[in-house]
Amino acid sequence: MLAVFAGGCLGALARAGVNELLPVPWHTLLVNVLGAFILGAVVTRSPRFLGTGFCGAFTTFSTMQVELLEDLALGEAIAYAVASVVLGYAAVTLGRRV
Amino acid sequence: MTVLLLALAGGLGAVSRFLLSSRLPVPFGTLAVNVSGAFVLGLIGENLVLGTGFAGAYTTFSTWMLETERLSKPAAALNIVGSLALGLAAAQLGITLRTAG
Repeated sequence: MLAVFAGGCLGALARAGVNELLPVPWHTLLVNVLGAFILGAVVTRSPRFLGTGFCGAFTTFSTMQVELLEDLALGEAIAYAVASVVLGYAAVTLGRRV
Repeated sequence: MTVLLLALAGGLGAVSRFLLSSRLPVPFGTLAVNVSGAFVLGLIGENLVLGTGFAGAYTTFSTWMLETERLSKPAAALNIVGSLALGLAAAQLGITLRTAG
C-alpha cells in the first residue's frame, strides 16, 4: 500500500511536469505511451511501486476523455484517440519484451 | 505547497485505484476506476490538485493497455471500444453537470 502511494505521488508529479512542457493533447499522449512502455517493462519486477503506483498515476485515462470532449475538433479527437490506443498498445507490447 | 498537495493527491488517487480495482476481476476493476474517474474529472474541470493530481492518478491508461494486451482479440477490442464509449459518456455527464451548475 505504501509502495503504491509513493509511486502514485511520483507519477502525478512527473505527469504535471510533462504538462508544463507540451501543449494539449501532446503531453497526455506522451505520458500515456511512455508510461505504457515502462509498465510493460517493469510489471513483473516492481508491480506495486513502479507498476500500479508510478505508471498507473503517470498515465491517465480521465484527462484523455476530457481532452477528447472539450479541447479538440472532431477530426483531431478521432486521430488522437486512435493514435493513443495504437501507440499505447504497441508500447506495452514492446515493453513486455524488454 | 501546491507541489506537495499535488503529490499527496496523486498518491491518494493511486491507492484509491488499487483498493477499488483489486476488488473486481480483470478488466472490470480498471474499467470501473476509469469510467468513474472520467466522470469526476469532467465534474471538477481544470484543477491542479483534484483534477491533475487525484483524478489523473486515480485513472490509468497504462494498466488499461496492459490488461487489453493480455485479453483475447475479441475481448481486447471490446475492452477498448467499451472503455472509450463509457469513459466519454461519463466525462460528458460530468462536464454537463459542471457547466449547467
